Amino acid sequence: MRQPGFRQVVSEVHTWAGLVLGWVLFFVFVTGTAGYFTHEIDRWMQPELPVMRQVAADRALELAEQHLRREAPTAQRWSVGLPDDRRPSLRLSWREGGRTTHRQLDPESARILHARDTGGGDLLYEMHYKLHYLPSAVSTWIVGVATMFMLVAIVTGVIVHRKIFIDFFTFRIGRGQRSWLDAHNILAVVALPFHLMITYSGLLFYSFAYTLMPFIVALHYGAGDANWRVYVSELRGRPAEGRPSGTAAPLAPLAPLVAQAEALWGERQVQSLNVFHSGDVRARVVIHKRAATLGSSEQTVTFDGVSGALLAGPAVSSTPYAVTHVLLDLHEGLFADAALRWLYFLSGVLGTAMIATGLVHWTAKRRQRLESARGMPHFGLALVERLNIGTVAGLPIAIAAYFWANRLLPVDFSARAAWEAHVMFIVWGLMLLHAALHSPRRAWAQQWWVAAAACGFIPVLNALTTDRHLGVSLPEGDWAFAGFDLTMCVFGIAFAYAATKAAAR
Amino acid sequence: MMEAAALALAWGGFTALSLAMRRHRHLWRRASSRSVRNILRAGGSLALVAALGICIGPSGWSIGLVLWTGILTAAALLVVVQIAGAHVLSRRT
Repeated sequence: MRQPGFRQVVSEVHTWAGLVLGWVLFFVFVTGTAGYFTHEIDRWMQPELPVMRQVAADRALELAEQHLRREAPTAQRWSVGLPDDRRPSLRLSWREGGRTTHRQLDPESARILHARDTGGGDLLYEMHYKLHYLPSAVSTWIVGVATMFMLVAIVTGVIVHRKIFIDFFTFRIGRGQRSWLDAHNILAVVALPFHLMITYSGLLFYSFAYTLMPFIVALHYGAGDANWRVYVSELRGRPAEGRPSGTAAPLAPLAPLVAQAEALWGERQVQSLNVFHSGDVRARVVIHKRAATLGSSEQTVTFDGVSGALLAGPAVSSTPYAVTHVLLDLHEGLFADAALRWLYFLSGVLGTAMIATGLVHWTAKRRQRLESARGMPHFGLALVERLNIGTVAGLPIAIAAYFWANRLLPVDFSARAAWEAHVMFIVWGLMLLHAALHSPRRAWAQQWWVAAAACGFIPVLNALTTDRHLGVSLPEGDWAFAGFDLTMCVFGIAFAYAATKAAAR
Repeated sequence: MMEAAALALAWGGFTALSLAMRRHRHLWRRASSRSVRNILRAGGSLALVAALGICIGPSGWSIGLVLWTGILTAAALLVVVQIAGAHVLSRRT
């Protein structure tokens, strides 16, 4: 037998690395891309929250301090999220006796805000690394291995492509298998820096926090949670929070401490603060910087909560640590303003479409050969084809169902947040079932039509169930609502186009 | 606004570069000369560099480079769509 050439071997690796966990990767890319607008989706999913105006940071802090001193004077921990452009409310939480209480305040009127219970955009964002229903130890490994496969697929893809520069900008329409390959290539090439960055940095999250690092840390620091915390506090260059002493002491006023942090970082650069053991002599105040620049998201300053003395400053402890943080910040894109955030979102959509076209190309390339050779359906091909339909078209339907559930489940239903997610996965299951029961051509067309309707009618649903519809949000320039509704319209139109194409094939 | 200017430059640059490529040369009505192609390549590259300049001006190197990369992605996608569109139109006539 002739030995296969190098490129042929690499091509095989690319095919299988991309296929085996391709559907997991598709899920990760869809939910992760939504995650770039997590706060905006949160906002859309709690439409009863009032339109809030920005207030000065010191006014918001004063309000938070009053509220927390009154409600939970001796909590284990207070957390204060200061309002910003994307999240206009003042977010407080405190941990007392093993229970955490969350509260949102209007920073202008100081009113406590009540809104429907929802998983919000945050749940979608969390799904991209935690999946759902699975214990985190399991899901972490699944997503970690899938990310590794993705990196292999990207590197081998670049080697296999051969004609990156000759074929640049080339997309030949209406040429069957060739068109799928062109689309896959072009989606990969135009956003290649993003694909590489997002996959490599995604892998860093895993190796860092979950997979390899715990073993290395256990070797040097000893096993167990307590030793892990020592390692983390040394890594971050700030003292561990420790335990309360039991001796009462009044908490220092917070405003001067935040002012010191602002003097270091600049105005409005404080994002949040944590106060540990308030009312105890060992109280600590940790102030977090806003992630306005690359590599700064984990910067903190720590103060003694009684004397107000600076205990630890904003130190970047080592070069590898700094490099890691630049990569993790690139992944999260928290520093991005509106324009750059949209570019992140676009790149995420392109990555999602790259995975989808790769999966579809696998079937387009093999259908003729596998079916004509045997004169009967081929099991592997049928399986991939059905999974493709139920995932590539079915998952967008499921996510749209999550948004529909947000509006249609009763507002006072106690388990509504959990059921929003249940609805999503039930609908996904139904789509997979539908794909298994119908011929591929019909299933593709029908599911794309359902996806088009499910997304395209969301602005109508929003108009029927809330008073924050496009007729209000557009004139007011309320971009969380208008942007969400219009984006869903665009997806609806794109899916309708896909449906007409699938039906015509 | 600054982003729109950078996107326009990157789009122009990529369009010029695509017109100088062998693969897309038939978009011309008649064959382009070597010197025209060289001008397109030089001008196209220059436009991409100018877009980089616009990006790093107000945002600094770190975020400017990220922004430039994203803008190149969007611009390249536009050029892909416009070339595919030109093919569809020319097939119809």
